[in-house]
Amino acid sequence: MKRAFLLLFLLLLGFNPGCGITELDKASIPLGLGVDVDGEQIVVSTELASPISPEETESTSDPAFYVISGRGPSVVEAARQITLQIPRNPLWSHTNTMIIGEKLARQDMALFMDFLSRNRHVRKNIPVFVSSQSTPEEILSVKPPIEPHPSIAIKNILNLQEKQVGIYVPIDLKEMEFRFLSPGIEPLVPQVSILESNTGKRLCLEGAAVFRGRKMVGSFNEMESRGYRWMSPRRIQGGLFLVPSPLHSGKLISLELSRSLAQITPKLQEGAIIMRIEIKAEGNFYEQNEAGELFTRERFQAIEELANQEIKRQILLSIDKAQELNSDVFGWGQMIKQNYPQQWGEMEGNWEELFPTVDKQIKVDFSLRRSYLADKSFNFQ
Amino acid sequence: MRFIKSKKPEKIDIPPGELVEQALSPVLQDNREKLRILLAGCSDVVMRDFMLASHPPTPGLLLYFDGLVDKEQVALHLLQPLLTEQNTGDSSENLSPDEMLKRVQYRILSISEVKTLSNIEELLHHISSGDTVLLIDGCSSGLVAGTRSWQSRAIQTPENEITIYGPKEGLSETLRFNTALLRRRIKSTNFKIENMVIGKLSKTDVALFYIEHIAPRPMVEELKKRLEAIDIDAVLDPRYLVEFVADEKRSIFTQEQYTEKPDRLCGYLLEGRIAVMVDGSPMALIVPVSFLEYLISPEDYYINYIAASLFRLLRLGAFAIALLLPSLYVAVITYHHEMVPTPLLLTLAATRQGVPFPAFVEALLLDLTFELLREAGLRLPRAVGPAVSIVGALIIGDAAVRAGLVSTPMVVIIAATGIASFASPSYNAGIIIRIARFAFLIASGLLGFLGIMIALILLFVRMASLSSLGLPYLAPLAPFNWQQLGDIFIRRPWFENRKRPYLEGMENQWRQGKSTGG
Amino acid sequence: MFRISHFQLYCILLLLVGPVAFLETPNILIIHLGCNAWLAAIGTIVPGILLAAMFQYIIKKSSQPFPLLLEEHLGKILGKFLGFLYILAFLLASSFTLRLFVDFIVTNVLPQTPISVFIGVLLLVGFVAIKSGLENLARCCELVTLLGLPFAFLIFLAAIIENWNPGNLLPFAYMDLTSFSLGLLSCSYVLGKMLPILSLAFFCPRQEKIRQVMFLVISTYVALMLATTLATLMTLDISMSNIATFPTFSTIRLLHIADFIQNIDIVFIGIWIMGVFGSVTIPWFMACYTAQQLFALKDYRFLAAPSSLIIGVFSILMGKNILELLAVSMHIIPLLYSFVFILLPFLLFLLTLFKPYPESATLAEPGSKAESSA
Repeated sequence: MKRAFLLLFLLLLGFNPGCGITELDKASIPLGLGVDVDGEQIVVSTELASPISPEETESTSDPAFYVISGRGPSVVEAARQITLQIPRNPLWSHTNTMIIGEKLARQDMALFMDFLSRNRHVRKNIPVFVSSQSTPEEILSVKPPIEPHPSIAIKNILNLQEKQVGIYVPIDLKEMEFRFLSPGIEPLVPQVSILESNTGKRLCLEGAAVFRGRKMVGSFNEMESRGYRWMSPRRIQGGLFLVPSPLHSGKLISLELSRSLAQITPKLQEGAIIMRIEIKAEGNFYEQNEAGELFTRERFQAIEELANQEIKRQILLSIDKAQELNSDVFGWGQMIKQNYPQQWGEMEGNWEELFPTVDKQIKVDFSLRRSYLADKSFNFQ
Repeated sequence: MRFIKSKKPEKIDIPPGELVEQALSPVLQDNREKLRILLAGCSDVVMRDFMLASHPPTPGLLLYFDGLVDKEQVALHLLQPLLTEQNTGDSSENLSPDEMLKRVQYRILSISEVKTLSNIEELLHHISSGDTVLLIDGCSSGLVAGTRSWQSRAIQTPENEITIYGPKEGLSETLRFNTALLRRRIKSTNFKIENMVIGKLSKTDVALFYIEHIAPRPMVEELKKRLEAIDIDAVLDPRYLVEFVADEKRSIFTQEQYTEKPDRLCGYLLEGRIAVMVDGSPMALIVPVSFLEYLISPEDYYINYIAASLFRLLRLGAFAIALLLPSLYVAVITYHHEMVPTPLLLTLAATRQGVPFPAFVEALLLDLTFELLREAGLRLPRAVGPAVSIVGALIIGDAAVRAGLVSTPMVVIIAATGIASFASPSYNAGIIIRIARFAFLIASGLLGFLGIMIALILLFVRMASLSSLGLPYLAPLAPFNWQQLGDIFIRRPWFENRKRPYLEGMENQWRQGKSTGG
Repeated sequence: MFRISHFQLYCILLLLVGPVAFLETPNILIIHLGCNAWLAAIGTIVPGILLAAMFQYIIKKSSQPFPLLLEEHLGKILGKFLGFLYILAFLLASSFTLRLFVDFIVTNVLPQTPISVFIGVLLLVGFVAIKSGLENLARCCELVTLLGLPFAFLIFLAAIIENWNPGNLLPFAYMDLTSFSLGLLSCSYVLGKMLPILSLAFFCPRQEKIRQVMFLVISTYVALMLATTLATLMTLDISMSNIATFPTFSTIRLLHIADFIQNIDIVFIGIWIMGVFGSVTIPWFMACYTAQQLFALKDYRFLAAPSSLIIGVFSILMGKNILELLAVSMHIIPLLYSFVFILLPFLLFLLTLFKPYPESATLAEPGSKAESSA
């Protein structure tokens, strides 16, 4: 009796098979997703990866990926247009990189954000970029060196520079969504551009897009982005920066950052808002392109002092630019809200007017720790 | 019956069925006639008439089955004294038949086991068990002499339960040898071996082994009751009995354990379990056991406990793999692609190019093929076996991939599953897993991971509702007992293993300490 | 006569309160309290203990298990009427849980599958479990808890560690009393679902330890709510969890461990189904059991089949769309639960205050007609 019941159920289930099934041989794998506008139309581009056979080597002439775009009045419509051109069902959950066209970013992000928050396929822990002087479609079409897929290449470049150079702070979809949704904090999204050279096209990170409200209002250049990075609330590790040499004017020395932590506390004093920014950083000596003994007590201190000034300069550049664009990318409003919830209630409405007037006190404490394999300067005799 | 009756116009026209129940008659000729009817057609029976060397000589009859007795013993210790013994004392002529019998039993026969019997049924049972029966004219009872001896397999290492360390002896088909093997290991008189006879035709000796005060009394009684209620013509293996005595008879979840190793059997007995052995089968049946005990290999107790614990965890993993791997794989690559890291998915997609079947069907086919190979390999003559496995594994597998029938990862998955299923130390558990695996596969084909989970809940519900002779099937996980779990997933060192796994009704739970009994 | 162990009781109660709350409560708490939601989660321990003490007191003052104790204290007619009400309430609780779960699955995992398939499958599982009796149900609950609870904590711990962001919890204690009490209420009304203890306690070997069991359940519940709320706040912050349909789930979706363990939401849902199985089946069992006791039937098992139909129909009719369902879950269900599972027992508690203790110190077995055989 029970068995019959069970069988009946299985049969009923059997009539309803394959809901949500996608066989892998009927699926295509989009690695990157780009959204842009073209006039009134929204353009969605995607980079579809060809399956990589483990046996064959690069001998096949098939390209590693195809870039396909669809256009339509809404994002979903445009994305569905893509399926008119490909024979396989795209598995959007494998999207690794999201690229927002600069045009769309400058026009209105509302075209896109609702789709993003609702969509259950696109994961929110993927990095997001804004294209710079190009469309996402063009960016996704650039064949990068070594790595076969441009989307994965950009993602890797971003993560690598975070550790090695330390210019741009990665931001994922979730973080971007959060910054759009919350008062007193705005997104800052790394920008990717195409570098034309005689050997062909290359992808390159360049600048960071600053948003205010619903749209992009400008961008940080490299120095400003570095300044922003110093103030990022999380502990940062890795990165390189240049300071003027204390011995030779006009010459630079490179320091490598091993860790840095920013502590930003807002203070409300007599109606004025002061952000107290304290940076504690540690780093190692990396190179100088001049001979001369730098490794003495005094010179170490001098280097540290110069580093402090350099860091402070970068931070100031960044803050000035942000205040000029009137976009609170640092999340100062959030900090005030967290520390002075009552006062924030009054400020929230006119934060846009208050933000450019915020004062800052910057204190940087950089310590030079080690000098790798040589503890004396290279001395030509 | 009627047919036989009409064919026998002799003095006795009682149907054999009633004949059997009769008592022995004092007239030897009478008995002889009855036995002749009963044993008609049994060509291996030997009826030896002789004259007892008394004054005057009394006719007697020796009765045995050829091949079951030690003929030398019969000749030397039975026949010879009877024929030649002049030990008649002073007034032997006056001896009554019963006294005569007593004298024969106590003073003449030089055989260690001798006892009297008085009815035909008993007589038949004894001779068919290999004893020799002696009937003397004038006596209404006969004598049985224990002369059992037959050709049997020597004590060998069991082939199916291979261990590297530990005792190597295996049980054999002869019940008496087995009791000896066990008695040698547990010398306490609390170790009880109770005999019963089951099977109307086979009259098989069935022995019940348990240790008093450790095995719960009610459990022993219950098992005995269930065994006694069995009405069957023959019992050839303990498996015949299990299907009568199990708590839940209609289930693929076997609720008992088999072993051929006396040391393992003793281990179970010392945990208060009851063993049943059937004469003619080397397999000992152990009840009650819980499902988790199928994870335990006897060897665990002979090697370092830390290593043994790790092996057990490994086996638990293998258990999970053998049960779930194909279904998980199907669920992941047809429903939940997002879980696969992208580079892997790209390769998986490439290997699936051109495979005509859905992943679910592919897994089902390959798994069935695997089962087929295994089944075929089991029955093959030893010389052919490896050849077939090579053909199966290498040629079919490789060719199927090349022909585009299946994808390579699927072959890997099924192979891994197969290997994992061999890691189970209990054949019983292996069977359960093999069957359940297909159920999981179907569930995952229907609803993906959710289907697997629902099947898993059903499995839990079903398994939790079972019991083995009152012991919950999933004990000590459900009902949960932390203390006992310490000897299931890992092996506790002996110095900490102070208590036996608890069974309801157990009198003495202590293995160590002053109250250790047994 | 069968017994259930204390651990089994713990598991049953936890499965009653845990799995559903886990999906909903953090959401409601964050809506009411924003970044201080976790304070309400901790605060729940106080009403929880009061509730447990109340149940304990009622048990002490009664000589018969739950549906019969209504008659014992309130008289035959009122007792029967209330008992009937409880049958309905249990059925409703069961079908609501089922529906919420099914909607969740359909929203997030398999949008094309009709909900009747899931309802059918889960009802089948529950049906099989109830058919095999309370003892077996208790064992299944044990398995589910053993499997699910560590996993749930592990996931949320991982989420908290990965998105460690205590700034999201600031400003500390900046909230008004109304919203705090609202949050507290919405977090603690769930504990009223522990009501089946009034029946189950009588199956336990030692009644004194029931207090500890209930306390453990409450602390686990609080810990679970705390972990979920903290993880959600740290990962999503207020603004994002406010627009998410199921913020707890969104949190899990974002989890990313060791680079290759990614998107494990489906594993989580799988484990969670087991919890939901408990949450659906136990009230359902209670409905059957109450009905059997109330109408002095021989067994409760045969009630499993008809009641499965009722639950199925209830859960399909519960709401047309997700908005309606969320409205039901935010407004109607709390009211219903608080009335049936908290207010009525409270009145009963007031009544028992003036009653003497039952004669025998050790409580009687559930009535002779209670259980045919285990």
